[in-house]
Amino acid sequence: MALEIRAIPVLEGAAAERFVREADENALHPQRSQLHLLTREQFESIKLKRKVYAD
Amino acid sequence: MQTDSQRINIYDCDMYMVESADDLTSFSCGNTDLVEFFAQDAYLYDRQLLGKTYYFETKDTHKVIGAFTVANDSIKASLVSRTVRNKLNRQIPNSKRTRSYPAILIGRLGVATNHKGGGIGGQIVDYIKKWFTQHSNKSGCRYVVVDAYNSPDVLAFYEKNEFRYLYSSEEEERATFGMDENEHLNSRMMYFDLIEYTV
Repeated sequence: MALEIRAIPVLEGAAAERFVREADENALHPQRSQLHLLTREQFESIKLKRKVYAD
Repeated sequence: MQTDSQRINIYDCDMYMVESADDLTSFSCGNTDLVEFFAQDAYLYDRQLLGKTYYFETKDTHKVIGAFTVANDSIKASLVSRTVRNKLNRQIPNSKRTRSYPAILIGRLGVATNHKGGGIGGQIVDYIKKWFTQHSNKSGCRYVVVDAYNSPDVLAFYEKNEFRYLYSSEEEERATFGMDENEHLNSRMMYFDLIEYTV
């Protein structure tokens, strides 16, 4: 197998404090992302299909 | 390095989930690890329920232009140091000790070699962000996380797509994983807060 997909470890110390502070701040005052590369119509036009395999 | 005469977007393609071992055997994205994963391992990850792989295929020529693998993950933050936690374990309620945020992990993402530079990668990331914030999503998901290859072009790609670093420096990330300070860090963990998409 190729490299395993690495899971996110438990944050501790300064990294944990910084992350939780930012998460709380974002929850209270969310910044709207300006980067939308797909419009809602384009997104909704993408349908998940299934291949038909021969027996 | 887009060489096709006409620019292709993912919304011009059909999207499929990997359901057969042969689905992505001919997909070439220029990275040995990614090619091997999509060709050989993506199907096995799906069978073992470790990751689901999806791909975009042109409607007319049936060429795969991009693929990605996602898996459930979470970001956990321990707000009490291990030493203090060991001493006071039973006196601190769990909710105050650890915060856990549900997340979706982009385990792999590749764009076909002849479509690189055409915006496909950004569109796939945007698709994932929208996918996991729409009302029909079956579970809560606050973050998109990725363990990005530690190369300037890959990191610049995720920065451009508004991802931030989980650890503020390579030194901090190395220390977390118990690596020597001169050891090369193969990847950097990055995240995007989906709450910015829902407001």
